[in-house]
Order: sequence, then C-alpha cells, then structure tokens
Amino acid sequence: MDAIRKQVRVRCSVEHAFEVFTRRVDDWWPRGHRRFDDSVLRLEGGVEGRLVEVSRSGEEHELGGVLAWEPPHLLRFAWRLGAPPQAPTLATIRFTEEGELTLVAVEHVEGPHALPDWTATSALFARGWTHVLAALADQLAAAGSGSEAEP
Amino acid sequence: MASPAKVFDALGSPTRRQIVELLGDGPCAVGDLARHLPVSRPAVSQQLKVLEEAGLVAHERHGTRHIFRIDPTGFLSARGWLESFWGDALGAFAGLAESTWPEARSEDRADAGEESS
Repeated sequence: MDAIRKQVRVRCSVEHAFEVFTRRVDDWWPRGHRRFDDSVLRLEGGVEGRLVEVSRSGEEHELGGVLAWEPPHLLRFAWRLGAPPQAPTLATIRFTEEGELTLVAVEHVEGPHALPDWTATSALFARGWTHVLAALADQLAAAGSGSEAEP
Repeated sequence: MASPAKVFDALGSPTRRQIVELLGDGPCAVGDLARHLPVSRPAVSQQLKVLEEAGLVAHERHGTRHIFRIDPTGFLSARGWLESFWGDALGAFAGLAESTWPEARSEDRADAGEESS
C-alpha cells in the first residue's frame, strides 16, 4: 500500500512554517480529531519529545513521539493515536523553500512492522493497515464515536 | 457502501482485528478461524457479520461452507478518512501560518494554493 501523501504551499518562510507547525499545533490541529473536549495540544521539541493532548483536568494523552527533529526542514513522528506501542505509524513532515513559498509535505506510512515486500494485493494491504486503522479506531473509540465494547 | 465510522467501529474490537489479521494470510472458513481464536464459533460468525457490514470482509459459498476473505472496500474508505484528516489539518495550518506571517503582502495572499498528490 502506498503512503498517504498530502502537501500544501504556504506563503511564508520555511522557519515561520516550522515554528507555526510545532509551537502552535494547538491552534491548527482539527478540533474533531481530539480525544478530549477543550483540550490543549502541546508538542515538546527535540528528539524524544512528545506530541501530547492535555485535557482541562490535566489528563494527558500521548499522540506521538518525535523521532526526528531537524528545524526548520524535517519532523518525524511515531504516530501512536492510541495504538499499541509496538505498532505505531510513521508521519514525516518536510518543509522546503520554494522562492517566497514553503512547501509542507506530509508522508504517512504504516510502521516498521509492515511487510518488506509490500504489494497491492488485498490480503497484504489489509495486514499492514490493520495496525494503522486499529490505532485510529482506538482513538475514535476513546473520543466517544460510539464504538461498542468487546464482550 | 461502508462508511469510515463503521470501519473504525468494526476495528475497535481486538477479536475482530485478530480475524482480519488471520484473513490476511488467506481465505478461511468460520471453523478454521474459530480454532485460532479464544471465542466460540457462533461468536466468530457474529464478529464476521460486523466486519462484513463494514466492508472489511466478504464471503463466498462453497457447497455448505462459507469461505471468508478480506474485502478492500472498507480499507479504502478508512484510508480516505485518514487522507481527509491530513487535508483538514494542512488547510488549517496553512491558514494560520499565512495569517501570522509578518511579511505577508495582502495582495498576493489569494494565490497560495493547496494541492495533494
């Protein structure tokens, strides 16, 4: 299965883009994709830093861990989203100068447990993505999207 | 057509995730799945039904046996959801980055476009 790739061109410097992406993560992270109401997202910089959601009552939910921190050009997260720690997905964000613009490109792949000979067959497709989707499912369930409990 | 919410709900159960992983090795009958799982055969059938409604598995009849296999439909739907998450997130990020850029000249704001590959 191919990586998920998304990009956006922003009219600002690379440094400013990196700064906003990291320091102001709480201001742009979509409200619909959080575990708690009225929470604050915080990105602790540096390798081994964490992306953490903090509820009003102070409860913490770790969304990911920083694997690479190369300001202002690259960030990589082990994207946990409530996943079992042994199967995180990987999100890499690259910031590239393009004249007056900055290209911000996201690449999101299944974690290191994906099969090395990954092909487009549906069986393999399902296997790698089971981990990704399980992570999302856990997060959504925690956010109260109506997942039923396991009997 | 499976909705992403249905897919995520279906995968919210460890047993159902295990079934999907087992089917990742190849098509399988209910009885064979039950042998690998700590739940009864009727329970496996029930879980398969939920997975089938979410578009994650499909079955074919071979005589009296129902053989289940992975159905990519549900996975594609969930992948679309993940893509739209990044679309929303990057859109909001770009808006904030541009509105807080002190050197912005308001007349060229309009042509900063978004694209995806």
